[in-house]
Order: sequence, then structure tokens, then C-alpha cells
Amino acid sequence: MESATDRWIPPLLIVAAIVASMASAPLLPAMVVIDFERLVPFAAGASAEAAPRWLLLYTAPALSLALWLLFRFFPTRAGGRLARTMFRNAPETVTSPNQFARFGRTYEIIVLGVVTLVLGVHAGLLAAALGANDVAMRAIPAVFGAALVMMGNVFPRLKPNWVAGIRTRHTLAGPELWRKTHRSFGAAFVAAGLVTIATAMIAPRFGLLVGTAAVLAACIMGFVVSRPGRIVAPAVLALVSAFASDLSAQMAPIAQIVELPTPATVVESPYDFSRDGFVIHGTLAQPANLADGIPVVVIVAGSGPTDRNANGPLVNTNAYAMLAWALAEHGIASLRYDKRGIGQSAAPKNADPTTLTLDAYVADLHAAAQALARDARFSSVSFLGHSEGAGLSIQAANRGAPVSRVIMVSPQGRKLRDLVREQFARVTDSSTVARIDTAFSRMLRGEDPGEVPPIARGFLVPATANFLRSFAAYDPPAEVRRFTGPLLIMHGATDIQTTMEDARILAAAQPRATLVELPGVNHVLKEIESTSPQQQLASYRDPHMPLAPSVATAVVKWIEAQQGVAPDGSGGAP
Amino acid sequence: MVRPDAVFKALADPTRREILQLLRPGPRSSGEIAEHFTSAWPTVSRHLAVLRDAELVTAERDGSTIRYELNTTVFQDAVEHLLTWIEPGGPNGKRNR
Repeated sequence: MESATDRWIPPLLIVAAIVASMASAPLLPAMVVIDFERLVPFAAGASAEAAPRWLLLYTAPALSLALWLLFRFFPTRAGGRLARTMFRNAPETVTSPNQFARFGRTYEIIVLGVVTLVLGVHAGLLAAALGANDVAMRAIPAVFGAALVMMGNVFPRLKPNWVAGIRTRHTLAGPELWRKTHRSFGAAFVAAGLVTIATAMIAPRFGLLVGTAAVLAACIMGFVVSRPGRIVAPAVLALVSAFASDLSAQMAPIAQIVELPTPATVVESPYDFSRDGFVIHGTLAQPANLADGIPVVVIVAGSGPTDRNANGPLVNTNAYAMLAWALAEHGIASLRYDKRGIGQSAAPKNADPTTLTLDAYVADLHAAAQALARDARFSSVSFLGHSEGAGLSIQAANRGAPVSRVIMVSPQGRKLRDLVREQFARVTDSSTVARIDTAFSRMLRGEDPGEVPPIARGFLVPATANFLRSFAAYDPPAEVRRFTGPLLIMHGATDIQTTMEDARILAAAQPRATLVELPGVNHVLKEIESTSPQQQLASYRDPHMPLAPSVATAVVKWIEAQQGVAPDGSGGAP
Repeated sequence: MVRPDAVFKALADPTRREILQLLRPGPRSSGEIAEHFTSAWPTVSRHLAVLRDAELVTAERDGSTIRYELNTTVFQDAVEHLLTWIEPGGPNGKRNR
């Protein structure tokens, strides 16, 4: 360990304390009386009681030795096993002995701080017993304060662990929340220490009292800061994007959505279609150098309030716009649209939100396919649905929408009910998941959901019961089994929302389907190797990050193969 | 133990303080850090090395990239803020003008 020197200071201090005690022994009577009167600002009655000499001399050194041995035991493998039994729901890394190596020096400083606290009090008591009261009354609170400052200073360097810091279920599960908590907690601890030292100098009698109160205040503050934010789910399906709670805490709505300019190689024009008198607004992207007789792809957006470009209050990736442009550069036109109720296709103010169901989205997509099929400019119509859009695509195709083929990108492979259980299980305990499940079942039966755990209140909104019901009825493998046309299933390997497993379930349900795995691609179709939530989240909100090239390549190759055209991979010559 | 002057030297440079600011919300890869600066990668890389030697950031390998994480103490944070405030032009004054 790099911190070899820090590591041996506490045992040396303990030895020094024992030596000091032994040296003091002959100077003290067999029974000693400690005068607490000047250490606290009130009358301490017990001081008249005499205690055996050894109690005063060896209690604190023994305590510090025991603590030090414990601190040495915690990072061992046996310590890890103990941690597993104590923190059953915490992530594996938190209880792993290896985790301590990530903040080794900080750990040693905290060990030193704890030992110093105990021995500081010991030194003060010893001084008091030897008659050096003036020293004692200042030294005890001052050392106490100094130990607080020393420890608080390095709290921000702690990594999630089970020994030191504010260890709640939420902080242990979310590194982001852990960091935020310990930055504030450390500052509060340092402040508590400084206040204690100042008090020790100015009003020594209040030192210990103020110090204790300040530490308590710092700890309370730490716990308050560590409370996670509620899962943000402004639209029903942000659930399918329900992240770990620590991330949602920082998922503030995006203030300014950044859109990108259309490249010169692509011509874009508004393309609207309507169903039952409701107009849905979209954008048609075509290659600048090509006219007629080319395939057109309908890009169907994913869950939540995501618009035609893959932007909204929670995400700003421009992924669908980038995909449309990449397809156009390979001679494929595309339509992307704002789903009913979103963006330009916003519902009228007096619209009844309870009428919005998944079936309405499916019917809208059907209408889009009909409009494009009638359009003489296009040789064939394909659906390319992303996430929730993949479900809409396969359902619309099964209900007779005039499409030649379906591409499901990052689809869900299981029913909503299972997905909900799995996603909440990642962020909360099993009894809460069971309560959410019960409330969900009641809602699906059309009953009052009853008491909904706070974490799920953004998701189980009574006004969206109809939408949830229609969504819960969607059975992905069954729909895929029914579809007999050409089907491409694509999934990113580093997707942390729906997983490769979902794609495999679907591919297994339909042997004629083509399954393409995209290495290093995440749910929002960007290249991210890491599955750490923080890094993933950054890509959800980076409007400039390019689309993973493998996404467009896979689509282009597959469509060209479907049409019997050799893939040329270049800029779509006629 | 890192010598205090190494820490002060590291904190004295506005670009390095900007890197620390960038890392405040959470860890970032070297590529993400480089994207935020107009200077060439070797320059950014040198700044990162200074910060790492002063133990103001930690670097951990994450697959094919290196992940930098803020590792400042409470006092180092305070010094960083102080230096930012006494900078001519006030906080952010120098770079965002």
C-alpha cells in the first residue's frame, strides 16, 4: 500500500499513549478523582466519585487499540463477508475488499482521526488527573476539533464503502449521490471542527458541548443531503428509461434543446399526415442528388416526450436526425414525426389525456405508412422503430399497415409488467417493488391503485391509467412471432435500459428475423463503452455527439440486401 | 504525501481549475475533457498529469479509456475557489470574455 507511513502512525500513537499511562501510574493514587467541572459548562456531579487508577490509564488506549484493529479487519476478505451480511442490498463493489484500495490514503487518515479523537480525550483526562487542568480543558476540545477537521477535509475523497461516510441504501447504490453527499458532509465536518477549535480557545468550558452539537448538526445535514430525488417520469414511459435514482436526481429538465443544421447533402421538407382529423407533423429527409424510386423509412421515436429528432425535456441527442441524414447519404429517404401530444403535434389544450393510448400511436403510424405508400416518389416503405417505437412498428405492421419490412432498434423484449419489476428492482428494495407491483395490477384492473410508493408516483399516474393498460397489453415476443415479413432486430451491447437479452428473446420468437448486435452502442444509439450510469447519462444530453456509425451501416446494408442491390457503402450514386 | 506547493502550483493555472470545474458533476473520460478545450491534446494531457500528480484528480482505467475523477479535499476546494475569485476579471472572467 502506498500509504505505508500514514498507516503506522495510529499504532505508534497508541503505544505512546500506553507508555504515557505507564509513566503516569506512579504519580497517581490508587483511586483517582477527575475534575470535570471545567470541561463542561454545567455542574458535573460524578466528579466526586473516585475511580481505580487503571480505569483512567488504560480505557482509552484499549478502546483506540480495539478500533484500530477493527479498521484493519474491515478491508480484509473476512471483513467483506461481514459487510455482505450487513449490507445485503448494496452493490457488490461497495462491500468488496478491493474498494478500499481506491481511497487507501483517505481511509488511513480517517483511521488516524478516530484514534486521535479517542487518544486526545485520553491525553486531556490524564493531564487533568495530573493536575494540569488548564492544559486539559483547552486540549480536549482542541484535539477533538482538529480530528474533525482532519477527517472532514478528506471526506470528499471517500468512495462508496460500508465503513466510513454516510452509508444509506441510496448513497451506496449511487456513486453520484455519494459524491455530492460527501462533498457537503466534508465541508460541514470541517466547519464543525473549526467551530470546536475556536470555542476551545475562546470559551473552553463550552468546547466539548459545542463540538458535539456541531458534529451532530453536520451528520444531520449529511443525511438530509443524501436523500435521493424522486424518479423523474413526466411522461408515462420515461419509466422505460427509469435510471438509478441517483441519476434521476440530477435529471433536471433540459432548458435549451440544441438542434443541428441539416447537412448540404440532404434535402428536408415538412411532411404532415392526419388521422381522424388530427394532424401529425413530420420531416421528410431525402438525398439531395436523388429523386424518385427510392425506399423510405419511417423513424418511430422512443419513449417519453421525445420528438422527431430524439430531443425533449430529458434527452437531447439528435439521434433520429443524424440517422435520417446518414440514411439519406446512402440513398434512403426517411420520415420522422412528432408523436401525438409531442412537439409540433401537441394535443389541443382541451384534449383529454385519458384518451391517449398505445393504440392511438399505432394507428397514427399506420396512417403514416398509408400516406407514404400512396406517394409515388418512394419504392417501398419500412418502419424503423426505436425503443417504444419498435413496439409501435411491429404492432402497426401486424395490423395491416402497408410496409415492406420492419426494423426494431433497442426494443423491449418483455411485457411492461416484467420491465417495471426489473427496473424498479434495480433502484429500490424488494418489498417496495412488491408494493409497486400490487398498485400496478390494481391500476391495470381499472381500480384505484391505493397507496403508491413515492418512488413510483411519477409512473403510476391515475390520469395515464388507460395508456398504461394499453401498454401492458403489448406482448413483444407474441407480436414478433405473428410478423412474417422481413424483420431486423438491432441492439446496442452497452444499452442499460433495454438489454441485449430483450433483443435475443425477440429473435428467438421469430427464426426468420435477423439479429444484429452493435458493440459499444447504448440505448440512445451513441458509442459508449462504459455502462456506468454517469457516462451513459452524459450521452443522453449531448446534442453534438455523433450517432454510432454502425447503426446506419446495419440499416443500409440490410435494406440494400432486401432490395437485391449490392451494398456500396458510399454516397448513394443513382 | 504530496507537497503543498505542488497542489498550489496545480491550482494556480486557470485551465487546470477549469478541468476541475468540469469534473465537479462527475467523472469524465480523457476524450470528453479534451473536447471542452481548444488546445491540443498533448497540452490537455499535460494539465491532467499535473492535476494527477497533485492528487487533485484520480485516473482509473475504464475499458479502453481513462476516467478522471475529482479528488479534491475540502481545503483544496476552498483554495480553488479563492484563486478563481482573485483572478483578474473575477470568476470565469478570463476565459469567457
